[in-house]
Amino acid sequence: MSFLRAFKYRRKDTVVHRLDPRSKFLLSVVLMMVSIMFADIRVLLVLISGQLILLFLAKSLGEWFSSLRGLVFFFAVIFITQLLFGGTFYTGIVLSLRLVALSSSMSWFFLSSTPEDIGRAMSVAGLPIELTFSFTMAIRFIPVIYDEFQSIYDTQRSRGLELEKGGFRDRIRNLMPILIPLLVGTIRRTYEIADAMEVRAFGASPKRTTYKPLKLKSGDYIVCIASAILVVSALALKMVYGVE
Amino acid sequence: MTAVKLRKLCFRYAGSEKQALTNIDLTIEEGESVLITGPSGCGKSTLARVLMGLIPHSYPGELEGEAYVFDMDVKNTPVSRIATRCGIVFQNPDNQLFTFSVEDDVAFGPENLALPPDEIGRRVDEALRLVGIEHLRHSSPNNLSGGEQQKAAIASILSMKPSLLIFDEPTSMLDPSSSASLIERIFELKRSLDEAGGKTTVIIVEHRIDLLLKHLSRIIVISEGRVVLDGEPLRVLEESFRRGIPINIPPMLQIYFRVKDRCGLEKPPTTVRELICMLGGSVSRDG
Amino acid sequence: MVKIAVENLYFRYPEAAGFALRNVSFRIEEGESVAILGENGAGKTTLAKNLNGLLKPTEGSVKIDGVDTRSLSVAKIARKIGFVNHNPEHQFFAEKVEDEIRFGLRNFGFPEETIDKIIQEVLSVFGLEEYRGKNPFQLSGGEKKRLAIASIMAWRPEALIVDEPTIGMDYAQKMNIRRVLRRIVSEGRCVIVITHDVDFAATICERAIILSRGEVIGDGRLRELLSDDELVEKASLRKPFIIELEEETGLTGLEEDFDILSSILMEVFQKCRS
Repeated sequence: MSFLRAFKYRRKDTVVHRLDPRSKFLLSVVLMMVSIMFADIRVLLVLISGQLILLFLAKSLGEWFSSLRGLVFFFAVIFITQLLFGGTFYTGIVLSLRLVALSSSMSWFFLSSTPEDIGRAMSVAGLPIELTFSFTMAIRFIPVIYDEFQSIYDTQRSRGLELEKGGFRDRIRNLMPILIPLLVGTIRRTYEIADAMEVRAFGASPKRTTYKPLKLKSGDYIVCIASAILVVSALALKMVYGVE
Repeated sequence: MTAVKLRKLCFRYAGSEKQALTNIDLTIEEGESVLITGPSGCGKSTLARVLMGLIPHSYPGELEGEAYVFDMDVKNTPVSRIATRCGIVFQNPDNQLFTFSVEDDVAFGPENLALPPDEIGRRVDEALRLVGIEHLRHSSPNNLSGGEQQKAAIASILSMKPSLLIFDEPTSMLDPSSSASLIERIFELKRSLDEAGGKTTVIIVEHRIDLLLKHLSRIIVISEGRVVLDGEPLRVLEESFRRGIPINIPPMLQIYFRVKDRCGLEKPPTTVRELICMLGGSVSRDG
Repeated sequence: MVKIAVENLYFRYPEAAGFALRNVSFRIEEGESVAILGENGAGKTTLAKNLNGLLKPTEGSVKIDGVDTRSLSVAKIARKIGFVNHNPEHQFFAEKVEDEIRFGLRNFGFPEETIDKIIQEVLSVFGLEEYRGKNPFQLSGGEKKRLAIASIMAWRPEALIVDEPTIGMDYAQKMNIRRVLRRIVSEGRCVIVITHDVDFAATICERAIILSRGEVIGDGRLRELLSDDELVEKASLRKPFIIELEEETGLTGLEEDFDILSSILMEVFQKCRS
């Protein structure tokens, strides 16, 4: 899934990375809305150019380009369905551009925000700490559990397990030697993590503090103002000028 | 002050027929460096859980007798309170760090205690310095080696400012050089905390003895849930050897205990060369 | 009996920047006992997984009895070369100890009538008879390890790779595993032990291959390699006690049995006296 690469956080020190996750999230949502609102090729092109600037500032154009290759399959699907169901080549292009705009709106946000920042933004937004913490932890432990899965899979293959062998039923049954150890291991891990959290007083105080409180800086105000302008001008284009 | 006081402590995990701990009587004073050892499954990790209050609060079962940590009764003190006096580092380095940077993990405990941010900042700086991992401050736990992860786990406990540190098999997943470096770091840490006027108690639960021996003031051997030996390290090891309790007695001592009486050795050698010299010496003295 | 030939092996994990193994070449002949030594991250497990086809070389080749692993399935290789994971819990899924052993035998198409006989035999050889109907997860750490090895040895592979057999094991458990592995060596099977426990390796293996940062920095007789201070230092290893003792006393062929060692030492010094 190479196009997922455009959503994976990479530690970099750029203007965009330093922004507050809340303002980034706001702009990201606005960009998504605008990409859905318009079917005008000019608007979409302007939008994409704007996003390219953001990605450029985040020094992440490389990741974005390599993810485009992953989108080729979706472009193909779009064109084929358009041509089959009465669309035109033009609508195919519009829809493809919209897809690019939509995915870029999210990609620069995820590329430049740590899962932790996202979690922090979630808790500032009023979500309970248990929920936001589960979110960041899930992301933190995905690679660890993946490694465990790989180790289990390798072990069972070395005992002659062949997943591809047999009919549908056999294949389901073949998964058990992998799923059971993985499940047992994950449950055990959950207990260990819970212990480790508890001995560091998790849940001790309802008024948990944050070491690095989120602070809006001048850049964030610019982003917020830009988002507002974007919303207003999008609405104006749509309603006053009647752009599709 | 007494760090740990256990009186007739018994524990049985829910759903198990066997007692995990039977009639444990134990007093550990502040400032001691204690090794708790014994064969696998002897109950030593269970004991560590009792000291943190994880038993009985997180593990269901039958707890009898008394258990006090710094005069806090573990039966009715929440783990989060015990955690401000007593910290534990577990075996598996992977499962003790939850965030994406070492710094955030070290801040995690103090954040839970709702300390003001500048106090947290001071504690984080100090903890990282004490463990010697300032350079890993912004690293993600996913990218650290096992030894580095354990050091980060220690730092994240230190930021809670405990005066009793428990290590539950901290090196069992590490290779020899990382293990040695971790053990050295633990006792350097104790020294610098003590020099700063504290009185830090260290309890290590381990199979490995060789790396630890020179740092210990006391060894406690547990077997089948009971304390079978307790006292000065060398004496305890020799007694374990005589009684055939299967613990990891370092090779040098294995030989020393076997030959000391017949060759008239008075103190244990620290290196192989010393052992040979002593044997040679005892020979030449006799002859 | 099986022969493994590794030639100019380079291995890189997908998406990784550098090579995990670089220019590794060696041959393992039938019946050899080899320790693959090195610190964590040196590439030991990666090498092991290349030897039994779980990983295929990025460059160079690994040949089993002359056949490139790229053209063999993992199962085909596993029939000849068993692999024991460092964590036995990564393989347990059956409700009973005996079914854990049955799994491999069935996968390799052993006839049902012989399977029960083999299980009986393996359980008794590995001292697990009394646990036959027990849940593998309820065994002690040492028993789990023995079951893991037993469940592989059941189909009698010609070679066995054991990854970190002593990790988390206490003294008595280590002794048990040592006995089990030594028996397999004495049957003339090839045993490859991946470990950083040099004392353990020295009691089982004749030969050592020492890895550091993905490269072989030593290959030869274990005792000779581990008496080379510079090499030991470079690989972040430690000199085994036995070898230190041999160096200091000039004795050779010592074994890690402390009763025997003690009496040998006393005898030697008694002789000095007279």
